[in-house]
Amino acid sequence: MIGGLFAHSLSYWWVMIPAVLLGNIVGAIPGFSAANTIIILLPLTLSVDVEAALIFMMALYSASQLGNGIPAILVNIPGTGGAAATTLDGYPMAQKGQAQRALVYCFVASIFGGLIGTMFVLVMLPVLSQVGNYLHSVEMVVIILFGLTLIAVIAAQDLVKGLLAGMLGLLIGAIGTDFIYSEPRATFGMIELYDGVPLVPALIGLFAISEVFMLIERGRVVKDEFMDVVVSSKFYDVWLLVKESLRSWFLMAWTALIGVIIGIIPGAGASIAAFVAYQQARTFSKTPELFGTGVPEGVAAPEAANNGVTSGTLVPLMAIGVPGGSTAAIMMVVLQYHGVTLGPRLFIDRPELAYGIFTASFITYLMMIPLMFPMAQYMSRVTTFPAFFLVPTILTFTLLGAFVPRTYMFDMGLAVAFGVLGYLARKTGYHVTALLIGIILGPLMEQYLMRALRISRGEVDILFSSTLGNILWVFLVITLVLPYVRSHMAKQKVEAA
Amino acid sequence: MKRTTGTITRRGLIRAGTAGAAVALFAPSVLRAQGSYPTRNINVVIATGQGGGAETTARCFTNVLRTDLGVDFEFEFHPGAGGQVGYELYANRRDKDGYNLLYSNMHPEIITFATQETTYDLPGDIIHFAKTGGTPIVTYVGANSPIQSLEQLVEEGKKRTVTIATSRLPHPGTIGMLSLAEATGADFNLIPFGGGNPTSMAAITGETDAAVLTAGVAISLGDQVRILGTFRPTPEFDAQMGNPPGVNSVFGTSIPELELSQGWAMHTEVWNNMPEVRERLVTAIRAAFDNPELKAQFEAVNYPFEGVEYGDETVCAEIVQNTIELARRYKDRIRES
Repeated sequence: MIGGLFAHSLSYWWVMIPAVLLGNIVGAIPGFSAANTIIILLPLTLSVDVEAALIFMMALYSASQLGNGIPAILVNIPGTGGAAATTLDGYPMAQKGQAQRALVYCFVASIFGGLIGTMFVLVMLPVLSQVGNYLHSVEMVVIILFGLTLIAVIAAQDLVKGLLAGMLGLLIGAIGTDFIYSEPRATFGMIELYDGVPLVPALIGLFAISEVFMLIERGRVVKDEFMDVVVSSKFYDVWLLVKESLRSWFLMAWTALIGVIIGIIPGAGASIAAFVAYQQARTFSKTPELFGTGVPEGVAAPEAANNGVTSGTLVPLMAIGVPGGSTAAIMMVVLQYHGVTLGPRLFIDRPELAYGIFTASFITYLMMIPLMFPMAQYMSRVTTFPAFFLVPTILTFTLLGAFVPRTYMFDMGLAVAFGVLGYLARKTGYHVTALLIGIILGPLMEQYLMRALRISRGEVDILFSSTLGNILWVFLVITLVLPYVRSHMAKQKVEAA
Repeated sequence: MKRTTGTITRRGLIRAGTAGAAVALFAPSVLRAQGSYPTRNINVVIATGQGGGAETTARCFTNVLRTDLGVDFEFEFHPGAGGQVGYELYANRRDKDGYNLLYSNMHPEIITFATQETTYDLPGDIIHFAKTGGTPIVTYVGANSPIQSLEQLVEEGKKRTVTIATSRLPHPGTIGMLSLAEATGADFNLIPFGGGNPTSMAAITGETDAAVLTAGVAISLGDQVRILGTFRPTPEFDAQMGNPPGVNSVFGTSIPELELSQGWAMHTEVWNNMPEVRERLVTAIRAAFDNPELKAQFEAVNYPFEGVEYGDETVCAEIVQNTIELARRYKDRIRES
């Protein structure tokens, strides 16, 4: 039956190919996402048959996750918060003339992560649908703390500056109406800030616009001494790099599963998954000290995780009819207009559609292999483009991207303000990623923590009240302590030698 | 000199310019006088996010209205702060020309207005003029919950603190559960989950003992949840909800009947000063209820049609007034909860 479904989904190749290409483009432009593209294309998705609409949306969604990583590597601009962790090692690789290598790792991790995630969800759906029963606010507090500890990792390079940047991010994240009573905080009467500091303008400002200022100073992305490496790269190198990257299959597999699990929780999403995966990959790496300097594992882990999220968000949608994220919510609305209600009954009423979601996702990822890899070599050339070409292009797309999600002119101004802040941070040695982690994870942390404390009426011991939560706490402590233990052991070895 | 077709002369240019200016100046009033509103697409502001109940029902209506009015509808979504963002933006930044409408989740958004300091006034700046329907507020538990009935929920609340998931604190569901706690002596701890989906998930996964939301959301979850009771007896929904009892009938209380109504609103200035716009919209919306296509639209998206019911500006004014009074009465209790 499954084989027949794969063949059936494959017959919609004419829908998948444009969706994959479009998904990569909208994923690569900050501010444009699968969710708002599906909304823009609503008339199209309503005019075709329901299967074509479903396959188009799934292909677009999956491809946009892969697309997010491309500008993160090439120009230090993540397409969404989910690709912010990719910049940590992807961009240093690009600066060292290894953009093609970073892109191949990004594509392999995304495709491998997407395939593993889809298969895992398809096979384990009945079990995974129970995961939500155990991941409550308390457990989410610990999971988000995994992501927040990345601030400490970044701070390890310069403790005071790292922590200050993280704290500033958390403070910025606290702007907006409070989660419990809807009281505005630090909004200065600006309604654009009532719903918090919008992520896209913050992301665009801190990464894209500050990068534009840096590019003007440097002239191009790649450092001069590495120009030859980029220019001399060959098409055949891509396949050697694919072979090389597949040696990290185990890392990609388990970080993809982190993505799947986090994706199951409504409201969590790719940002948390990518930061947690990066942090975990670093912790269990044999060379954690190299993370942040341009190691391919630092690209593979977050990319596999954020593509795993794509499958994870489908679990609550298919198991109980509750969407796990904004894209899934919009897909649900589109299917409603086709008279299809997503949920467990769909497996009985319309199995071809229920399983079709997963087979479409699977085939989409396979289709990305011939579509994406040949482009890696040409994409990597972007790093050699001179600033006078890159700067206006980046500015045009990113300022438009800042405007698109909410259509407020205010957001373009906010992006510029964050750009100045990001530039000053870079020039003075503060890490913009630490700032962004605070902005992204701070409001989520507040939301889950306040909810947990409200359930317990302020008793802090609720944070240690669940078995799963306590297991996660132990893992968190191990994660924090392990690097120091390993460093201590390495020192002892050196001394002994 | 022979004048040829297509040659632009100074006199011709002046004539054409004068004619054009005259058309530009007087056309709107002429068109209005001819009752030709609307002549261009109508913008609809929704104060909640995409994919919610407001969008679903608004689109059902606009799909019918577009045939009658002969123009299309464009949607913009401005969620945040319990509807405050969308309302402030609509009141202060959208042209008061009849081409901007607001589609509203009336009760929670009016509660926000009554409990927060806002820059808009109801009905001073925005007037609700057509109720499109209402679904009762219900309390429900996950299918695996040991709590089987409303009485059992209250009994549990007398023995221990019972956690209730709600979308947000300024919400009719919150007021309902606080009233029930007050009337029965039960201890209900209201936990805001920030939206219908997370609220339902909390009840389904057992993070909270129960949840309180609209019947529409609970019905859409099918056998994942068990509806224990309703804050407004609604026979038309009974079959879909599994015939839950009314809260007041079970406990002999006199808790105000609570529902979540949706409806159309517009700038009060337009309502007062542009009667042709007002009449055209009211007539078209009223007529939509008699159009079988409306039911077909609701059925196509699997949204319950039972609660669809027209209410004119008087009905809306009553809802606004009563909800404001109710919210102000419970304002302190919401803050203390």
